[in-house]
Amino acid sequence: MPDIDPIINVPARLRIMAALMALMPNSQLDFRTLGKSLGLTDGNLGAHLQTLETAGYIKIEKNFIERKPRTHVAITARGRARFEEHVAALREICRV
Amino acid sequence: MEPEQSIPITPEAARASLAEIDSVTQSIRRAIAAGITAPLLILWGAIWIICFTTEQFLPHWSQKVWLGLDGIGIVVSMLSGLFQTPVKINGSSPLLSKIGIAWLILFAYAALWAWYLGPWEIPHRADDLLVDRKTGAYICTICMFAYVLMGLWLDRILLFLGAGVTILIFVGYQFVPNYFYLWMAVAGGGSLMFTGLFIRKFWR
Repeated sequence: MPDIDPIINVPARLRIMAALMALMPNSQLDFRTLGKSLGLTDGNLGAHLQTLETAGYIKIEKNFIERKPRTHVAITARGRARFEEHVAALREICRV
Repeated sequence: MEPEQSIPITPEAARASLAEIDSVTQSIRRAIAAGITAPLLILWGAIWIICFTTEQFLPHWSQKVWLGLDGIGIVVSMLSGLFQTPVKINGSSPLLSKIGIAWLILFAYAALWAWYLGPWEIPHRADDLLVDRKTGAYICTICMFAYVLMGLWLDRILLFLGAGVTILIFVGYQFVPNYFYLWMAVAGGGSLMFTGLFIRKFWR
């Protein structure tokens, strides 16, 4: 039976992972768009992203576009696999 | 940061989590569409309205207006694609190969469509080509087919927009030949602009 992932199993992080999973593989999402879409403050979003990055589920890239700093976030292959397993576990529980 | 509170895993909680995932997936796709698509639809809607209105009432100005505004539209579209998009695609994304396939399908559609509409009269001057009704309708249906293709992969609203405007182009071409350009300004340009404004207002 697939496992519930304790890192993903927190409301804000579940939503962050779901948002990143909605992207095509090898795509990155702008930090501001992510926060605005999920209704999270910069500080709150940043803290959750750090936890997910430490777990190796996401990758954060900072660069300059038109001389302005921009942060992009992408899901890693490990994160994708863990999220899929987490969703499978949720579906399994629904069947019980 | 909100306190670390793990969701208790009852079947109800699991169902709520799955529903939340679906809701976030839809809202993030719409936010991306609003960021990329809406400004471009508004821009191209405005260009169509101005150019086709000019073509209807001031045909001798139309060539300059079309060339100027199309040039501006292409440059702005490319710059917004490079700098404004909320999504960054790396070199190996499957989306890039999809875009390549879409271009091939678009060229095939353009060639078949041109063959079907033929024979074409060879224009004597550049102005003849630009003010020709059939050429105008042809170019616009190609643009709308591009929207249909984007709609297949990005969001269904683009598919319906492309198909709907194509039907409006046919209706105008067949039934209002004397006011075809005005029809294109209102029905074609208006549809693009209205859809862009709708996405911008409701999908953020």
